[in-house]
Amino acid sequence: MVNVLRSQDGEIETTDQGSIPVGTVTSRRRVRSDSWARFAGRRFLNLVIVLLCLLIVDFLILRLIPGDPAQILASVAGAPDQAQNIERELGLDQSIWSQAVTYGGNVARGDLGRSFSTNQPVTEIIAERLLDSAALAGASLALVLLVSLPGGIAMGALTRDQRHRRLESVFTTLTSIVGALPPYFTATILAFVIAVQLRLLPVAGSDGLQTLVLPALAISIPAIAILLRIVRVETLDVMAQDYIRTARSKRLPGRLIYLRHTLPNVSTAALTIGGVLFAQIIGGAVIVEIIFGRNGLGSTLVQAVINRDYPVIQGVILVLGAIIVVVNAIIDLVLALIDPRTRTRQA
Amino acid sequence: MVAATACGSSDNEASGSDGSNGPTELVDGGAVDVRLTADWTNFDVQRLPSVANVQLVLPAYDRLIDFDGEKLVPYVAESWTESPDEAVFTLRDGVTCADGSPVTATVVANSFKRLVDPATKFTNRVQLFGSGAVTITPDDAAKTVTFAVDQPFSNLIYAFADPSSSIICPAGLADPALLETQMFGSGPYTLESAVHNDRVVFKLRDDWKWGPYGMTSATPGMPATITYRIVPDESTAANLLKTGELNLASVTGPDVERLVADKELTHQEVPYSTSALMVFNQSAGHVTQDQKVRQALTTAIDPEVWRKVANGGYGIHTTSYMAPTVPCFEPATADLLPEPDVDAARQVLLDDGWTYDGGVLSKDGKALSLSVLGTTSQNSGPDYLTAQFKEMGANVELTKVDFATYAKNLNSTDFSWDVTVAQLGSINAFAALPSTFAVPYMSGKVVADGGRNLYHIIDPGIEADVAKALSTTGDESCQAWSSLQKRYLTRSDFLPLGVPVDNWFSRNVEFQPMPIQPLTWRVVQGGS
Repeated sequence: MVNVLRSQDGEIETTDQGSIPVGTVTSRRRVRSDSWARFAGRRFLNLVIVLLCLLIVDFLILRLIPGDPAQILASVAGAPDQAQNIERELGLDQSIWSQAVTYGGNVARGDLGRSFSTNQPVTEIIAERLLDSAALAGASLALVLLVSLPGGIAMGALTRDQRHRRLESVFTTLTSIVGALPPYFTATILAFVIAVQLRLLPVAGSDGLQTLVLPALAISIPAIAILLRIVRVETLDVMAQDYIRTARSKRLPGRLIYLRHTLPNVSTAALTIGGVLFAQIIGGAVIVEIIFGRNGLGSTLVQAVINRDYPVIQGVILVLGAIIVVVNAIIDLVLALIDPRTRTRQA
Repeated sequence: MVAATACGSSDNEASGSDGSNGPTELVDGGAVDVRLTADWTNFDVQRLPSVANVQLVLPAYDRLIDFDGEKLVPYVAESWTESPDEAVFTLRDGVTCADGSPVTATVVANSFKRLVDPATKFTNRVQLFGSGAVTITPDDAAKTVTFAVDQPFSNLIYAFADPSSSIICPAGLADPALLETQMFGSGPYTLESAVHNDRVVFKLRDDWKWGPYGMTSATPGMPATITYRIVPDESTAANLLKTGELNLASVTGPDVERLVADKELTHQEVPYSTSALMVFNQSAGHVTQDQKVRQALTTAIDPEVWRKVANGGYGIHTTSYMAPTVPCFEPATADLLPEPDVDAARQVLLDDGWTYDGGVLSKDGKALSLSVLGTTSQNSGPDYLTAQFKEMGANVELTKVDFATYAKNLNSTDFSWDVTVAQLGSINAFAALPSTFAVPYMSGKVVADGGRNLYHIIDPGIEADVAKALSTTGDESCQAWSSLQKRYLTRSDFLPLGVPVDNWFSRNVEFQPMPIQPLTWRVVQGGS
């Protein structure tokens, strides 16, 4: 028999007393806390690296594309010295490295600069429009998960063991087509049919939940189609496992089989793909916001690119990039909670 | 000297309905939702005026005089005298700022002093006031403001109808930084709210009584609320018009057709005052410095085809750099334009010693090579030019870019393009003047010397015509403008490609098409 003792610093000591397995309980606790710490540390480091890369790449790329923000502000008809004055005021007459150092230092202090066009602080612009974009992205992601998970499981249940083959064929074809549709296409169709022809919902704007419906649908429909297929395939895979066969042989009700045994195992893959789809949702939102006249970060970004408003472009890309990384980190955390194997594997 | 006085007190009813199917009734207390195509930069109209900025200040600010589409009319000034050297305005009684303070001669003078002060960096000072110094003298007792210029400028009086000449009240001048985000005017509306990239809302003042033609806030049909919605996307704007979420908007592109077909909407084509021009880089080292080359290139292009491929067929034919409706338009310019014909174009160069071999024109062992600069907003227009020049016998490199890149290329002092199509809007937005485009973009100093002669059009005869036109008035001035128009075409300095039009659509709003401004908007019901 072995007595298990733990010292103040967590080290394990054992004495030869009895049959308790050496280090079992405290070892498990120590491994668990170590894996969480490593997991969180890895995610944070990932965030910092991605943001640094974003900062450097989008700063440089902007200055490589043609077009002069000073000339745009001065207008085509402006006096030649006017554009030069604006260039000086905006610091654009400095070398790229000087601009980069200045910008990097400002960002480290939380200052993302001021818009070339409106002179508003970029942080203020982002704060004003972040909620709108967050609402749209959140609504879209929620739609995707709420429709794809139960829908994919249902399709898996209906088509397992080669049943309803015609249904499977229709489903596969339809989801292939819809999944390939770009969000701006679905947005245009929805706007024309639902808003313009049927007048069921507003065409554009950011006021109220009604204005959120069509944009969220436009973004989520292609993503739903993609995730439906994946969830169905995962369901078929899970349904073929021994523990499901055992559950069936024990004559468990269907809802127990699907909710308690199938859903958690399918969720792992669905959430992982959901994280990737979230990045697509953010990208789709950029164009959809323009079509539906929403005052979010996406439409801000497009206008800033047209006007070569460097500080706004840089700030919005940084924030959107951070959001994607943070959301994926949260998804990883949720996965780790649902499936501890994920955490241990990564640790 | 010319004197003008206030007209009677009858309201100048806005006209402009096109295709109405029945009588309309003016509605009091209504609302107008109008489209802005881009976000505004700031509300200080004296600095960095953009199209969006200019439109937004109109509801909240007044001007000394107004342009009603045909002539200048009294506004805050009840009468005035004018000459190329001086303009003297006599102000109305009872004009007040939105904060209740009176608009006196000193208030008006101070606003204009800031406008012409070099520290303000007002970009269009030369176009509005000429290149001379401006002296501004108020007399509160006599209620007059005198503007004197030390270099005669026949366009001077039109400056005071321009939105940039809006009267800024003392509260705004006391802290000019506030002008970027707030409005301090005496106009019929006050700024209620403004959200970038979304909308700007104005509310009607109850006490505004000094509009042109006796207009007041009680004039039937005056909108109680004006909301400018920022809608950059053309299809979105078209959809908003169709559903009634916008009352008034200009739309371009493929969506125009479905809006024209919608009988619930009133459609008006509002022409620019200047033509789109195919212009040439005449600086040293460019083949287009050669007048024969320019003549050949202008012969190769059919303006009617340009209009179809660039503007979907919309536009007005013209034979000069100005629209036919502009004062001093010279009809004889029609006789100076060549018949479009690629073979005839080639022959011009063959007669000048060029050779044509293997589909390419050459001279002194050097092939004819051209660089064409276009923008994506010109649709297939630049491609049409390229195809025609190639058929004529030139090697052509086409650069078709977005506006930001186009603007940089156009204004660079070492620009590399040979041919482009320019469309410069009237700087004096409210009056179509014969000087627009010619001054300073096709005369005077080149960019490298601090001027804005973008195309290096340098000719003593042109300078003499411009100087005479700007320093004289009436028929004498018109003769100089006429001579200028003919001289440009004789030199093949450009080819007029037609006056573009803006397609405006409205629902339950009557408006005057020229100029587009809130003073003429009336909310109606009934009709089409």
